[in-house]
Amino acid sequence: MQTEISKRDLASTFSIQRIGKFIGKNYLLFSLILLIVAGTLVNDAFLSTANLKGLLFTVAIYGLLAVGQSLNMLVSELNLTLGASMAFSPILAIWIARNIYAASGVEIVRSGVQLVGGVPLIVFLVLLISVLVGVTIGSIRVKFGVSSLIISLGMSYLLQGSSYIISNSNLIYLSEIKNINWLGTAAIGPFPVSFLIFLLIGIVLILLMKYTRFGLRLYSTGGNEKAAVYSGVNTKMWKIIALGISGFCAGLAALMYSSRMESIDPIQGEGLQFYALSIAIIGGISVAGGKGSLSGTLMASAVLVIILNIMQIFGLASWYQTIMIGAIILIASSQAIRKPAR
Amino acid sequence: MTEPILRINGVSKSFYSVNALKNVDFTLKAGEIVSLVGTNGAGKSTLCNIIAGIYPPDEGQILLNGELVSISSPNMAESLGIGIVHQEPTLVPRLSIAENIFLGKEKLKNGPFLDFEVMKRECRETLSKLGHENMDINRPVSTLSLVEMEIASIAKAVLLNPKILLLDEVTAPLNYMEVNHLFKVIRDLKKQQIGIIFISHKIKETLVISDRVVVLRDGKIVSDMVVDKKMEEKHIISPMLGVTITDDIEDVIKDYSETENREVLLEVNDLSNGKDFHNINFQLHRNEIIGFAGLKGAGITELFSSIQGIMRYKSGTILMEDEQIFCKRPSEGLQKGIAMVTNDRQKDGLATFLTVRDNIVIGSLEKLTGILGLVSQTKTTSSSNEFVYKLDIKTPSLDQPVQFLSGGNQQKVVIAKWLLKNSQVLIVDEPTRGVDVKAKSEIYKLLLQQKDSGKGVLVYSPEVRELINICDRILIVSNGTFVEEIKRNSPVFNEPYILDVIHSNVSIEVT
Repeated sequence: MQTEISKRDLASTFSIQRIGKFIGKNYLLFSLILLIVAGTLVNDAFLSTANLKGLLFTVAIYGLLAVGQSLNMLVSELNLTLGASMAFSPILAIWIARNIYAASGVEIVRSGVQLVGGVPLIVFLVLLISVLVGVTIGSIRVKFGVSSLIISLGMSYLLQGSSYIISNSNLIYLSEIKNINWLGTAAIGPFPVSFLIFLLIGIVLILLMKYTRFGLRLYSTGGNEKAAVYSGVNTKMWKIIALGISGFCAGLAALMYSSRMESIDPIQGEGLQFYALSIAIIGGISVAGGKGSLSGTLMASAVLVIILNIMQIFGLASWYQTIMIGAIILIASSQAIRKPAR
Repeated sequence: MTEPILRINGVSKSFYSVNALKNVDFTLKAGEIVSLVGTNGAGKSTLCNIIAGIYPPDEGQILLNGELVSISSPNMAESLGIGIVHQEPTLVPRLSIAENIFLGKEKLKNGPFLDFEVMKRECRETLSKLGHENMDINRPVSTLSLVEMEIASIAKAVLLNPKILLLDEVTAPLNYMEVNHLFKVIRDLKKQQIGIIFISHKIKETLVISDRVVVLRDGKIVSDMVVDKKMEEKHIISPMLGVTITDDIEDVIKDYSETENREVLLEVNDLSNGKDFHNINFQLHRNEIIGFAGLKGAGITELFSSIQGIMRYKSGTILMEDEQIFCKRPSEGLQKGIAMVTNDRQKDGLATFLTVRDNIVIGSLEKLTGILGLVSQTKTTSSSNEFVYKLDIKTPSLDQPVQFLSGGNQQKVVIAKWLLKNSQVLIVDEPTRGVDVKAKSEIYKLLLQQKDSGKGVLVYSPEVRELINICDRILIVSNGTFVEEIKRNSPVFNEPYILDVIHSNVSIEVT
């Protein structure tokens, strides 16, 4: 009798349904493992240090923006300036720094295109400006009740245009500055510093979400704003905070990108806001708000970048990669349809 | 005599120039249970929300233990010792019970870190105080049953040991056993000297649980009674209703005649949708108004929608002038001559950004065409003008967006739309929701005119008195079935009897 029960237990534990359920629950993790195995088997180039470094750097940039966007989505907001801010923040920061230094007779931009100094101030300003962009969107959002989608869409064009005007459509080169490429290229083993920073930020945010009030505030703000307000949660403030953090992520991504390129291009970051949105959706963050977790976003950024990387190794043109992103989003969303929210 | 823990002096509140509360005085003593009763829109929830700090009163004072306070936020209400269970669900679906209960007042340790242990322990303690120690507090709220959600909401409100507890329709989703259990809980809280404000639509419940019953009507307190054994439901119901229709309506209806010999317009046989209503049978004649009486949620809205084609039904037949019809969508219903005024005019009755003219003609454009079959501006203007005049719609011009009209005038625009359509059968779901007394009587006059012009009208109103004034017969619905039909010439065609049937049937279901 007893053995019978245990047999049945065993059978049910290892039943295909259960395994299917487990995989369905952790589909991102399994796709990630599958992709890494596939990449390794299919081509030696995949595991080469050079490829891994490039790949992980891209994960860091896309992932940072996606984490920022995920926080926005958790509070039922969106920030479409993430891409534009990656150019605007450094360009405006250099313009301000240049004017500050010029006041004391120091020229930090030689012949208009070559940056030669003032890096600490510029780094600070980049982060400050990018945070302020997010906070501005959030403030307009809560003050006037306009959707952040619209505000940030308008703002994104505003920033793009301003970037070109302030920079005279010129690239600003950073190559004269010693070690400027540290953030973008330094690595510990195959792991770029930028990737490790991204991972650290991701993990810190996950822990904050789980073990402090931060997570409850964000989830309740996006999950049922009225309930949150009735419970005394300052939902307006939390929306602004989420948008501010997403701005910070964009600023950090800009620093990493410019460091690697050793230049600041007014076109840099263009369109990446949609990659960020896509990754968040693939990672299971609901556009309706209050649902999803950052660990999903972290894994989704790796999944997406690895897929694109494998396609690249095979020499498939970028249009195929674009189609692939579209297909993955549709597959991810169809999963949400199949599992209706209870 | 001790000072009451809560005293409200002359509180008024209005929304968009509609008076929700007018100069209300109210007191609550420690260890007292006071029921607030009144029809929908009488101002009960407004009063609650003011006490809860959701919005401030326009005028008046609130005193707690004799001290003047201004309750500016839900947080402040909480810190002043006021716990609230709101009528609408105010839990975050994705968070667990424990997380919901502590939302906004989380316990921390080592600085910013959540103290899950303490929170879970206190959560269990609070739940066991309510007799639900077996609830799994880690479950997300989205997986709970209605009852469990209600319990979680109450636990959230009593977590901080409030002095005053507001229960806004907490018993609505509960069955008899659960209500009884909840009443035990409430009496326990009363013993702890908590003052409790209890709001319910079930009059019997208020008699069972309360020490005092305060009746609100149209934003004013009309009665304040201490409950004793001799008290009956009718003592509460009569002040609840008051006079809402002017007398001249009753004159119009005097020439009532028997309906049996008239031509049958609409016949409904054995209609069920398997969920909201069952085995519905009735015949609607020309020149007849049938009233449907019942509580909200009795299935009347669903029945109406199914007849029109807005919703589908599962079984049964509908005959329109002896021809069987089956309307799968609203446009088919309209084609067959059945129009419906839905109960939520803002949501599904009007395009609020469009003008008065556009809203009136929008359903009848095919009748208003000129050359080449294009919509004729002259015809739309003259038709909408005609109805604005006939219905006395107060609007500065035909080009005024309807969102800027008052509730009563908005409702008249909806009715104008369907009158212009000139359907044989007019179904009207709560035509007077949020409409003032004068507009109410005008709207009912319009319905009587429809009847006199040979149409048939089905009407539901939660206010039985209004039905009595205009209907030829009243069908009482409870839990989706007819429980009684009362004709106009019947001796029991009166409000107290009908209300008694409505409410007693509810209690039968409960007990």
